[in-house]
Formats: sequence, C-alpha cells, structure tokens
Amino acid sequence: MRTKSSPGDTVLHARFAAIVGETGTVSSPSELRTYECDGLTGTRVVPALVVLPATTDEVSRCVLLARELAMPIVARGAGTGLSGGAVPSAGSLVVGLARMKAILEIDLANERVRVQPGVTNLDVSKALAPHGYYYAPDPSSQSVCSIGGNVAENSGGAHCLKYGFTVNHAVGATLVLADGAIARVGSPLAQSLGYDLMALVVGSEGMLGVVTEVWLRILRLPQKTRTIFATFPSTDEAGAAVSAIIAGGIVPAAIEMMDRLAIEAIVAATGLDWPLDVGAALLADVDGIAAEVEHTAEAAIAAMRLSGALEIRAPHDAEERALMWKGRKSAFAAMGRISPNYYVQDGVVPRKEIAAVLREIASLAANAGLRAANVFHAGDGNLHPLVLYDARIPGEEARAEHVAGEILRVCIKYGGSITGEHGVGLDKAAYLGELFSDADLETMNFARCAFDPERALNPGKVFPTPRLCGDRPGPFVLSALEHSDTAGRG
Amino acid sequence: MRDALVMLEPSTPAEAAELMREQAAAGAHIAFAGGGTHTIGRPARGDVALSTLGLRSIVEYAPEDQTVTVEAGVTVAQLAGLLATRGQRLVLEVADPDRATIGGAIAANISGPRRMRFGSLKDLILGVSLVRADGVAARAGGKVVKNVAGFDLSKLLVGSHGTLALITAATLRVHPLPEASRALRFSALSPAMVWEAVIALRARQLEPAALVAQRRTGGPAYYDLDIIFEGFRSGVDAQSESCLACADERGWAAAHAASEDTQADDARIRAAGPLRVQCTTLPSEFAETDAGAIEPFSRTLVESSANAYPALGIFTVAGTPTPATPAAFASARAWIEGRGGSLIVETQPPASAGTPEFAPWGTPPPSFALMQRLKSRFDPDHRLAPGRFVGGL
Repeated sequence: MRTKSSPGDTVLHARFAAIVGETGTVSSPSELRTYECDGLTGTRVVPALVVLPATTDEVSRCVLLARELAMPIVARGAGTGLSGGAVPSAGSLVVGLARMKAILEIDLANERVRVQPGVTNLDVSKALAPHGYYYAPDPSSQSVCSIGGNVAENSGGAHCLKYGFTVNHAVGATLVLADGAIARVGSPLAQSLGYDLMALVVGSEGMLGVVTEVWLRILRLPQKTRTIFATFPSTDEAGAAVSAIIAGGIVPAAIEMMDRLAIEAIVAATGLDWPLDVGAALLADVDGIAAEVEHTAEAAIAAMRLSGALEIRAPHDAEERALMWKGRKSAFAAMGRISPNYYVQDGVVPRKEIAAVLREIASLAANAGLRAANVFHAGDGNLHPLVLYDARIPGEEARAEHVAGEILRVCIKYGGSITGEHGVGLDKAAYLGELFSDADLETMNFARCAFDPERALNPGKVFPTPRLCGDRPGPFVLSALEHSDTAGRG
Repeated sequence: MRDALVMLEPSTPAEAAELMREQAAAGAHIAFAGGGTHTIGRPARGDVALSTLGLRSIVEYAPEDQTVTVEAGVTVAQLAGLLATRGQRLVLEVADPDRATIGGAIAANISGPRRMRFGSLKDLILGVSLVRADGVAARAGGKVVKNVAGFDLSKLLVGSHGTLALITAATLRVHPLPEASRALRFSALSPAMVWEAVIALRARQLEPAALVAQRRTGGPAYYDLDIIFEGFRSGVDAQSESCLACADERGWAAAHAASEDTQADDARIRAAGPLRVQCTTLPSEFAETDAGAIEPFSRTLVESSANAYPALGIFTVAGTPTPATPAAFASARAWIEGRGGSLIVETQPPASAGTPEFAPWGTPPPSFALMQRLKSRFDPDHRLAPGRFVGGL
C-alpha cells in the first residue's frame, strides 16, 4: 500500500491505463490542472490522476484499484458545481464521467429514461422534445451541467417551483460503492421495496457512491406556456406580487426576481431591451392546460398590477421568450459586465421573509463598502445574492467572502437554509454546523458510514468536522446481492 | 410475537426522547404505533409499544410559504381541517383520516391515486424531527420548500416502517385547494382499453389529478375508470370536454359523473376482506399484470374487490382467502417479481400473520445489503421493530 499518490506518477498512470486505456487517463501536470477546481474557483487542488471510464465496470475497477492504493476518490461530472463538491482531495483519483454520456433507453410508455451520468441536462430534454416530452429540473447551467452532477447536488432550477427538484425526478440509479461493488437503488417503477436509498443518494454530493446510470422520470410538455415579464419600483413590490400570486392559489412553473443591478448586468450582456430605471423585475412562466393558463396568467398579471407593477410585457414570440429566459439564466455570467469578480451565494428563506432579508443583504454589503446584486428563484425563497468585488483591490475579496458568509447567517436566522440547490461541498461545510446540531450531523453521518465506512469517497466535503464511523459497523455482508442483481429490467 | 408488555405515550417530543433513552438503557425492543390503520409486518420481538398519539401539536403553519410543521400524532383529518381554513390541503389520501396520523403515513409511505400528479410523501416532506434508537433527538431537512443542506434523512424515513428512528414531527409542503374538480367515469373498459386511455389522455396533454380503475368481475375482467380533473374551473371544464371527445372517438361507454373522493373507493377495498395485497409493476404492463397475476389471484378470494392506479402501475386486491389462495398468492408474487415488481401484503387474517403463508414483503431488493448496513448504523442493537420490514430488517 502506498501512502500518497502524486501527480505525474508514471507507474500509477500505467496501472489505471490498464483499466481505462491510455485515452481514458489524464496525468500530465498541465492537463491535470483542468481538474483542480470546479465552479468554485477559489480552492484548487491538483489530483494525483484523472480517469475517464467508459463503463460501470471500468468505474468499479478504478475504485477498487484506488482503494488498494489508499487514494481518495472524487467523482466529477461537468465541473460546473458552485460549492466545490468536485474539488479534488490531495492525492486523489478523480473519476470523470464525461465519456459516459449516452441516453441508454427512452421508455415513453412508462415516462422514464435511463441515462449515463455524463449526459448534459439539456441533452436529455433535447432528445425527448421530438416525442413531446422533457426533463423538468433546469439548472441555469443546464446546457453544460451533467445529470450525474445534478444527482449529486439535488439540483433545482427556475422551474422546480412547480415541478420539483432532482430528487423528485431521479427515481433509480446504478452506483459503484466505495468498495467497488455495483449497487442498484430505486427502480423505474412507482415504488420499490425497502428503504428509499435513491432519495438518500440524490443530494449526497458524491459521498455515497459513484453514480453510473440514472433512471429519470420525464414529463409531457404542457399544452401551453405563457411568459410574463414585469417591472417594479423596488424588490418590495416585486416580492409582494410573488406573495399575492401564490396566495391566489396559482403555482407558476417559475417566478424569478432580478434587482436593479442584475437587470443592468443582463441587459449589458444580452442586449435585451429591459428598462434600466426600475428597482426590480419578475420573469414568470405559467403553464399547463391551455384554458387554465389563460386564466392563471391573467390572474397573475392582475396580482402584479395590484402590487404596484410599473410595466408588464409578454414576449411576442417563442424567440423573444427564449431570449428572456436566456437573459435570466446567463445572469451570473453577465455579472462580469458590471464587476470584475463576484461571490455567488445560495441561501433560502421562507417566502414571506424575502423583502426583509433582501434589505439585510443590502445593508451587509453596504457596510462592507460593496454592492450586492440579486437574481433568484422568488417563488421558493431561494436567494442568489451576488456580492460584487474587485480582486485587484487589496482586502476586497476577503470582505466579499465575509459578507457572503454573513448572508448565510441571516438565512439561518430567518428559519431558512444555507443552500437551496448549489450544495454544501467545501464552500459551506463550515456553516452546516450553524444550521444543524452535532446530533443532527452525527445522524446524517450514519448514512454515510453505511455506504462508505472508510470515508474514501469525496472526503472533506459537506461535514464541518471530520467524522469517523466508529467501530460498530454492524453486519458487513458484501456483496453477493449487490452483484447478483436479477430484479432490474433492461 | 408476544404482545407488548408496556405502552408508552409521550406527550411531547422531548418526553419521547427521554422515554427512548430509558428504553435504550434497558435494552428493550420497541415498536412505534400511530393510528394503527396501516401496520404492515410484525416485529419478531416487542417489549414496548410507543404510541405517537400524544404528539398532536401543530408546530407551525405558514400558509404564505405553503408549508406546515406538525407533530407525528396529528391525524390526517385534523390537519386537513386546519389547512382548509386557508384554502389549502396536504395531498395525502388515506382510508381512515380520523385515525391515520401524519407520522404513521410517513412511516408507512401511504399514497393514493393523486400521487400521479402531486407525488408521494417523499415528494412532499421537507424536514423531519426524529428520535434515534439511542434516544438522541435529531433533525434533518428544514422548513423551507427548497433545501439541499446536509443529507435529507426525512425522505429516507418515508416508508421505513418504524425500523430506523421515531418520527416526532415533520414539515410538509401543502397545495392550494382546487377551485373546481370533476370526476368522469367510463364503464366496462377491458384492461387493454384502460391502458389505451392512459396513453390517450397523455396524447391530448391532459393533466388529470388521479386515475382510479375499479375492477369488476363476473365474466371477463373489466374496469370502470374514474378520471379526476382538478384546478381552476376553466381548466377543469376544458379537460372534461377534451376527455369526453376522446371517449367518443374511441367508443368508450358513456360517461357518468363519479366521485372525486377516492377515500370511498379505498374504504370499499378495505372492507372486502381480511387479506389485502398491493402490487406494483411497470404501468405499461397493465393488461399483462391483470391477466398474469391479478386475475388468477383474485379468483381464489371470496368476495374480492380490486382497483388500480393505472398511471402508476399499482393494483390493490382484497378479499377473504380460500384454501386455494396461498398457492395463487405465491404464483402472483413470483410473476410480479419476475418482472421487477413487488407484491406487499397490507393486511391478512390473524391466523396467517407471522407464518410464511402470506409473507408481507417478498424477495429483498438488489440493494438489500446496503439496507442492512443502514439499519445497523441507525439501530445497531436491532431494537426498533426488529424483523418487521423487508428481509427481516
């Protein structure tokens, strides 16, 4: 057994290349740097080696070999995560799933698809569109982020207000456990026997296994979708409009808020003709049965007017609608137009507290001499404050990071959460202990220890302090059942 | 199993934790009980029964956020009454809402036909407060609708049948009560036609809240299909018209108004007899499942009653068993498991309970070893309803 594997180790490279082939390994120091971080760019660790397996069996053999070599294992999808969930550990094997991107089966009769983890979220919907179906969770990064990453993070998106998150749509998976065993959890059926392990795997941030296949629930496209864009004097009125719509018994497919700074950035980046002299804007979709959508759209517009909307627009055609949504979904990237750097946060608060929390965020930023832009999922209270800063100015980055952390504390204070969809990862591990007690975290750790008692998978993530698995692992019956899967179909 | 010697009924979550600590120290085996409407499987040993009926506080109701936090012993009817005052509902269909508790519904993963539109409790639960086997109180998830902080144990506890931890409170997502609803009944559809109806509704992009197919016998099997629409009136009217046009095209028997209340149908099945099973297969195998498992099994029952949720692939059959039933049951289970499905015995006559005749769960699933490991981490001494759940968990 080796103690530490380091980048550029040719013996190491050869042993893994024997499993995945020369083209399935990345070991040159310059190429390895591509994998040193994910969307959280502030923390960078070069892994010992990256493998790009093509099959579940290859993943299993790589995991087994990594364990033999005492290497930590970090699974990686597209690397778009924003909480550092895919940042390598020192000396780790990164299992990149980019080559496993096939859509294996489209079962329209049962409204399920079986996909490999490397397929992008949008490619699933694109493959389904000719059949009149789509995959509902739609993270803003959906054109690049992978289904495997979505499963790890329990990704959401704008349209999860009505349709739910990855956990509501990913119904079964094949995963490689920390000991290399291949397990099947959940199924394409409406219910499976035993504990709902799939619900545990979704959102476990790569700490329970490496997912190599996923069954997804798919939805029929709605008869009609109406998109509404409305501007308001401030986020207070926009927030009141959101509350009034929901109070009217309407569940929009999506309802997104952008404040003045966010609108400015989006307009600069996209050329959309949105007004710049407003305090906030809402972008909402109502969808469903055509006759009902006419009713709910008009009711939503009426609620917006009553709440003080300045202007209400509808896109003229599908192209303009797509552009509006593209504007919203490119908002993070657009921040580059108004600030050299930004720190994105992902807190959640009860919907009724949005206005108060936005005021606290503004004052936190102002007190630190910074600006905060807000573009977020207003319907479910999932805030995305962007703390803007200039890294070239000494001290600004540290102040921005401090403000971002304080924002999470505000979310906790109002009874919310430190992350709605980006995950805990490395970035928020320190705050998880402020949201949960030691007993809570210890109980969550039971699940991790059941799957990975030696904590080889994505170590150092999520949990604020290293947690051992104790000496009572119970009967360790591996793994004839795992391998002799007979119940799965197709 | 011998009957529990002691019955505990804590009135607060803190008291529940205290009692659980005492029982842990004594090494007692504990079975949790809610309203007792849906208890599946029997623990191999039970020294103590802990009832959640004393935990009946509404902790927090936030209508603006469409969330509610309640203690485990709150009944489904009590919660429904509260939510209705604000024009909302928890989409949870149970047979006996006056007795069924929220905690019990979560532990037993109860769902009804509206699940096709609103999901099961796994999709509605947002957070949980629990007491572990060792008496330590903990929570997971939260009270906001969107949250990925930490491992969400609340969803793991859905359907865990009291074998991992005591649920003391839960936060649930609620929905607006519909402005209108309408149920249409199409009678005398063959099993193949029921499945064709599911496909036809999808082709028209209709969004029924529920589909319930009531099985009729005497001659070849046929079904009466209830299609339930809910929402704003304009949508319900449009969907009903589209559905009727579809029925005309396909020559389905004339529609009758039916009840949107699915609990009545559930109660009818429950009253049919002491043996009740639930089968799940792929929805597309509706007609095959009917012919391959439901028909030969139900033929052996006296006064059998059955229904199906065709969009979900779920069948429920009940009746009084005859001497031919055990063999037919075994064949039906083998047939269904051979197709990757499952057959669960929800209730059975006292005489057969605990015998292998109508074993509640069937063959453990492929990831069973992981489930054993999970059970051992949460309940290392196997004191929580040991042996009640699948494979003796």
